Amino acid sequence: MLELEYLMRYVLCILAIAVIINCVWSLIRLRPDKKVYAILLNMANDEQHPITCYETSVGRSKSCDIIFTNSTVSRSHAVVALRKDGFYVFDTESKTGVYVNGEKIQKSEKLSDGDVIAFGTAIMKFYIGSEADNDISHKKDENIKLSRLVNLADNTEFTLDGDFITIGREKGSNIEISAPYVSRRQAEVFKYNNHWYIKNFGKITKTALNGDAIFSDTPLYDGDVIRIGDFEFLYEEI
Amino acid sequence: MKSISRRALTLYALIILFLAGCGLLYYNLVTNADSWAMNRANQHLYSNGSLATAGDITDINGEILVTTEKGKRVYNKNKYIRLGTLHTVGDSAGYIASGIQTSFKDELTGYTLKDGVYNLKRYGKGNDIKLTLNAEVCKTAYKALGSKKGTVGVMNYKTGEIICIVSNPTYDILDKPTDINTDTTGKYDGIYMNRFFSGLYTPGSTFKVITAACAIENIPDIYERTFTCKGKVQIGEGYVICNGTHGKVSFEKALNKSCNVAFAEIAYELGNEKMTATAERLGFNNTNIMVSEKIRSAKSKINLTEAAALDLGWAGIGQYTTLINPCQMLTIVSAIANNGNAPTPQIVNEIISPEGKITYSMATETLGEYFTSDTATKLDDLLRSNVKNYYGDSYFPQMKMCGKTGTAEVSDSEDAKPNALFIGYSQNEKTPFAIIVVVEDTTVSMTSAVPIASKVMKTVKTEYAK
Amino acid sequence: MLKKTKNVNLILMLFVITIFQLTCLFTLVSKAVDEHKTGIILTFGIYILVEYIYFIGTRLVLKRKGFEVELIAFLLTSIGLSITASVYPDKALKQLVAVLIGIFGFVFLQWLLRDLKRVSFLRVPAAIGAVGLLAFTLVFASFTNGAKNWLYFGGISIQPSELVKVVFIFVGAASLEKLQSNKSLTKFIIFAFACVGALFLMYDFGTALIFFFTFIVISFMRSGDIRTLVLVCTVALMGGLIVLMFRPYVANRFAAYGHVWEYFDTSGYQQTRTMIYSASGGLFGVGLGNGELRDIFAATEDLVFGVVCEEFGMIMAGAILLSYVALLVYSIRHSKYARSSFYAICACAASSLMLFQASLNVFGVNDILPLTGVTLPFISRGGSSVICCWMLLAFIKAVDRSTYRYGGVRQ
Repeated sequence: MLELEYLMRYVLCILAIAVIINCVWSLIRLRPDKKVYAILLNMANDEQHPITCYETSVGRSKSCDIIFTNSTVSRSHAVVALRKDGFYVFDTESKTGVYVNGEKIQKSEKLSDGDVIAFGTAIMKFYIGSEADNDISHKKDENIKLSRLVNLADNTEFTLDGDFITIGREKGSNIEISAPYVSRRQAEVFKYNNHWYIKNFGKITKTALNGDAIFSDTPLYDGDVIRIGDFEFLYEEI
Repeated sequence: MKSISRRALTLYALIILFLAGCGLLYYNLVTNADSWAMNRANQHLYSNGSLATAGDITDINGEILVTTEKGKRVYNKNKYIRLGTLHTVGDSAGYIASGIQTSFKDELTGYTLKDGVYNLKRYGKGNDIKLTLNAEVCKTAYKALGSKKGTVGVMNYKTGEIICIVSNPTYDILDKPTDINTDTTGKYDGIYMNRFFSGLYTPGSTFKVITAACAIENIPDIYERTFTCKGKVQIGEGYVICNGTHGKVSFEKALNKSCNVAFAEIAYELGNEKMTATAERLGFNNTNIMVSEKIRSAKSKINLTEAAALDLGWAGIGQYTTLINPCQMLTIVSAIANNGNAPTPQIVNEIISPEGKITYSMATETLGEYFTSDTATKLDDLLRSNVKNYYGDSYFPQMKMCGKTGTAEVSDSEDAKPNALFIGYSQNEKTPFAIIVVVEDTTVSMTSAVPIASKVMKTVKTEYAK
Repeated sequence: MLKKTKNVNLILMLFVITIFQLTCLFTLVSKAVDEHKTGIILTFGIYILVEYIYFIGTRLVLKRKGFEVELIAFLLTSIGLSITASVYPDKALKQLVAVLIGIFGFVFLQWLLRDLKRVSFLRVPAAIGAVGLLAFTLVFASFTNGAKNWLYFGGISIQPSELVKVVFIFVGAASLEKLQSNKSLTKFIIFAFACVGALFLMYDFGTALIFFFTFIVISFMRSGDIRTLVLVCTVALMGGLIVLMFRPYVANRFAAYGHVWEYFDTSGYQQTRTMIYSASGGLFGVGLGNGELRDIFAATEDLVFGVVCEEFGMIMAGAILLSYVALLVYSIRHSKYARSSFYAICACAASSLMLFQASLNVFGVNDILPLTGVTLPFISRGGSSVICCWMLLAFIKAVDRSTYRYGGVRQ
């Protein structure tokens, strides 16, 4: 009995540690992937403002998610929110008001695909992104992954096929980058479980994903930007 | 949402603070764990402030000095062994700080950072400790010391194993006197102190051994010198009084007869720098000997910086401000016996885990070379000559004993009694033991310290030279 | 390597947790006297059953995938239950009932939070109810252990301040369009001061401090207005000093702080005993039921961290501390992608409240902070406390957008 108790102390400790460490690690590591739920297209200059959060503030202030420098836009003008039954736009006590399809809204208004929203004189066309469509995104999940990398400097495209592609200075890399600070084998994009991941090998220059240096295998999502020094690649799912 | 999530990032500061706090907490816990766990309020180990559950302490022959039975500490059945080993074993309430039960609490309770005090739950005891002590010798030494305050220490000068420590006054742990705190007669002075480790005594003539060592090292023709003793000698502005009128004496005779005049002159000639240098090499002023790594002995002290000529003379015969610690003095004697090499004193022979595994086993260590081989041999001859030609081998039959007595005046008043000291060792291969005897408030050492040393060494002989 | 970016394996983790709980149960039963054995088995049996119902239900019916938050909570609660069942075997079932109410509250609050319209409709009544409850307590409660924070209803005692914690966060948070339209914090400040003031008058300083801290977190997340917050903190600090000036005995409570060993048998009694027995446990503890700290006053509440250290070991205690950190990290990282700023603020406030409360408890008994006598989330015995913690967990759960499946995101 005493021997059993002696061992049980260790067992209890190991079991609890196993659960806690696993969960803690997962809680610290897990990050929801960025998704584009909708797009605001500025009708004046065709500039796209992706809506990536459930609540997106619109205004002139720097603290807003989408910033318009137009003087008719209030500092915090409106909020576009994705709620249970779809998108809404809220007028947050702006001076010049929010207009949906030409009509001034009272407090809030439900939005549908293709609506035209005016924040002051900034006129936007509202598209609900395909990401927001439940069925399509679900199907997509099952049989991807035709994807490509787009070099943002010259818009050249590189379609991802096979199991992996290499990026680096080395001759024979799938994507060759000839810059002195790029390692011979800088990064690798590889397929795992029907999903594309990126892995950094660079010693001098770290490969960054959406602005953050990557340290381990990181999954790629549509719209992610891979940056290696001055070179930027957009990951697109076709 | 950007602004909200940015503000949320400041909460990482809270996390950093929390983790820093946790770091501090765990640092405190881990570094203080054993001292906290050994706290007297810990009911795992103590009941009513007394150590209740812990390992056994035995002497070198396996004689159980203290053990645990049914959640209580049980001591040796023989009263004299209990009295003689009290200060080494220590009490369970921790009054005797240098006792094994206090200084080796961690080992006795089997506390480890990994398992905490769980070993006590598992085995009902912690590690057992086997001391180097010999209970029989302690018993004899206690009886020999009788009612006198003082201390006796016996150490194997080759290995450093201490086989006997007795410190008096002592008390029977099973029958602790109730008037210890209320007594005003002074009979319990320093009762909780182990005089062997913590006592500091005026060395008296025993210091002449150190003066002699200094002389051998620094005065090449010391053996050719003669000294004239007329009962006293003027040095500087006063007189050093001798214990007799020895006439013309050689260096060896001077030590034999413990001639104060000769040694005061030698000390004066050597000067304070050389005297201090020799003493400090022997550990004065700078070494707290760590016995078995846990028990700290007091530091012997010598300070001659402000000594006038006369003071220097007195210092040479051990009557100035110099103080010796018995344990340290014993290592110095051992170094002489051990060809100059001082062994590190040890009290713990083995530590045995509850499963029966030996987790610690004593290894002979050295405190360094105290004397050159040549000096050691010369001192050895001188000390042998003391016993052979002067004190008499009859005190220590067939032991080839070497030694030096000392009678230290501790007070200027007329009726004050001196402390008697004896240091010595046996040259025999079978009994490589050094001894120190200190008797407080007594007569000259020949009639007090030497007979005690004689009794103890005879027991040592019967115990070891079979 | 790749696995780590995924959620934990629920079946495996559930299996490990079950073994953990059964091992605890086995130890408890082998040490308990006969009359308590059925009660303990019943407690753990029901608890494990509810645990399985919850996980199977949410996995199969709601088709959720992330369960880390609940797994941690279930594990911590079972450690708490084990300690309660070990020290007070007769109170195990009572504690279980509170845990079950907590789990029900957790599920209910998740449902309630799902609809933001419902939430914004309920905020004002909830605020009034909370202040009313505190006022009621202030008038009708009697002093228990130096604080006036317990209400008794025919054998059941509750600590209203614990329940108000949930309402406090609920009232404090708001969705983004509300925050943008009305930037003023005034109403919330008034509400917060009513709550903190009431707690002060109850002499429940630990809880008052927690509320004040939560208030700061929520206000900052809402407005980012540091100037107002500095002003509020200054006022609060002055208020605190005035209280200390007119009520010096309040300061005496904290006199032992920093030198508990000097007040070994008086005001440092609990702290020193906690430290002594924490150290006695070592890294792996002396085993459930073998501790000595349990005999000290409030061992299963304020000193429970020491009990965990002593009986389960320092390593497990450290892991528990880490899990509070993980909940806050999780809330912070998900705040940007939450379905509303309401959830983001709720989650950050709830998880930092737990972390703060854990700091006060753990550092308090170890003399790193003054001892304030608050509970350790999920582990301390006490019905109101455990109900509150489980309900706070609903806020944390709600920050993950995959908790609610609408709006086109299914993960």
